[in-house]
Amino acid sequence: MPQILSSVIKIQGLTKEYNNKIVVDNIDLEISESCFALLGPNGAGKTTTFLMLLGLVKPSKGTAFILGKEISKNLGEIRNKIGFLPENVEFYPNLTGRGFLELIIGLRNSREEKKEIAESFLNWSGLEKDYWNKKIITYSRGMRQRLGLAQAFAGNPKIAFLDEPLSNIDPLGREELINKIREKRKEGIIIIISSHIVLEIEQLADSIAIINKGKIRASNTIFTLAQSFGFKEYEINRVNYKTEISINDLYESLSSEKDLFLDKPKVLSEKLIFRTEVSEEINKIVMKYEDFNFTPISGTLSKIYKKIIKESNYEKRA
Amino acid sequence: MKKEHNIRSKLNYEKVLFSFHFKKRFISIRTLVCMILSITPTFYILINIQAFIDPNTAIDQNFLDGAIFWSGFIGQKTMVSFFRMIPVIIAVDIISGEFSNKTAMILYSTVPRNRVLLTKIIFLISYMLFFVLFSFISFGIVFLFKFNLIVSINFLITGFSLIFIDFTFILSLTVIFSALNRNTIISFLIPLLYINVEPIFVSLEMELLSYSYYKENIYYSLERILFIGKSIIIDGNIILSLIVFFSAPIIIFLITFYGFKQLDIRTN
Repeated sequence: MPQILSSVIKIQGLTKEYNNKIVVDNIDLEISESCFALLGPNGAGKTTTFLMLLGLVKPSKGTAFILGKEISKNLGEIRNKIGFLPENVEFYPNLTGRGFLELIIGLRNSREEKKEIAESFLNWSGLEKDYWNKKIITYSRGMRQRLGLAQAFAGNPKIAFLDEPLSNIDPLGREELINKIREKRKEGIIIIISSHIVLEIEQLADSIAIINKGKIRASNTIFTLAQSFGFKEYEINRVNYKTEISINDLYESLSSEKDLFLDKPKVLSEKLIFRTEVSEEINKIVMKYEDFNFTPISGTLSKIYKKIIKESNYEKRA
Repeated sequence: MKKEHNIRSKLNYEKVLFSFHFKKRFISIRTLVCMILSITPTFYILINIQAFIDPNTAIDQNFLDGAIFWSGFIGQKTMVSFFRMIPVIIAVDIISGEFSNKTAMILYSTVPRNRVLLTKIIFLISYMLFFVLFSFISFGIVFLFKFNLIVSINFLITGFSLIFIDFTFILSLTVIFSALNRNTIISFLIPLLYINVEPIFVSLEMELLSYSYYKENIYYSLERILFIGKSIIIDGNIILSLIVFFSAPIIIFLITFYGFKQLDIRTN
């Protein structure tokens, strides 16, 4: 049996054809980062790729390996290690949020304390306690998304696949969900996200792949992509208040290293903006500080994304 | 890793899903409707009791077994299409329901689809068994009070088996449409249509397409054993009837398993 241990997910020539229309076209991809995002417009092939990885849709050609195991041969084993939040998640409408979560926990883990586990995940998801015992049919879109997120992480998966987790959520809710996903990433769960909302993804993902018309158009770490497209502006944001370390303390720590910045950084109350050519090096340092997040300056990924999508659309017409 | 594996019971998926369906379906309007349908044959006989009673014949064990139970309850044709709706009602949305409420994606990414399907079929057969038993028990109680007699055990077992296998066939027909078409309306209408057009097949000399035709062949053969005590006359027709009657539900279930395994599970 082939063992691919270097990457978490390895996709080889994955193709899906529906009624003679190719929706995923010979994808090759290696995912080894702790948070990976598959970006692309609606209908680009993101969901189909996810569903093939989860064994819900059979590939027309190609294969994929998850945690070193080939999905077509080891789906049962892989299934126990993954969580999944589908796009526009829905549930049994007459079940309560607690009931649904207990069902999923029961299916993933036969231990008796499923009530306690369900409560802890409901609490973590931020779903109002008053709604835990109410029928899901009464839930708003945002509440369902929270419950969906809770069930995706409820079996303590090694990998969580989140398909469009931020769609249909208001901006405040999005920020909260991003923080919750970030929390899980820090706990060591590998997060695989598909999205067309680029702005928020750049705060979350370590690496991305951009897909359009079924083909991967670009794939790399966000920092490498930003560099290759000539972007040098980055920012460090405070995203948590778990430690006493301030943005100034972090700035001083970074300043003690040689030649990190191209010019003098702008220090704002909760943000540090600067230009650099050694983003990977800075990222390694910032990773040690759990309250801070290092990304290309807001909007960079969006610019890269638009450029790549436009080019791939133009390619097709030409 | 091994410890984690040991904790997980081998039949955990089945146990959890079975109890989930049991809780979800048992206390429901569906159960009430099916309970009403399951007593319709008994009440039909009770209302039309004069048609079964010959004034010159004494009401004894033979009369209860033969005229009332075997001909009236097992072999009656008037209320049969209502009675046979029970498997359709209980199975109609067993798979398609999860596709229309979009829970399928979460369920099938968590549990292997063949184990979901197997659990659902076992649950449906148990659920159906409850209604068949309820129907027989209600018949037994009603006629115990009316004639102070209980149907003979050989008649009971034979009749029960006939009804149970017939219901399993209709159940399999409903499940295959629910699983492969994933449309609740289609999986309701097609088995219902089949139940109702079966007599037309016979009148059009297309009886080989009618499951009831095979059931009737077996019914009359069993009648010969039960009443006259003679063995079944083995001919091509009865062999074919036995094969189709017993194997059709199994074949349909196997096709359902195969087809469902090939399906792409997506709800949008």
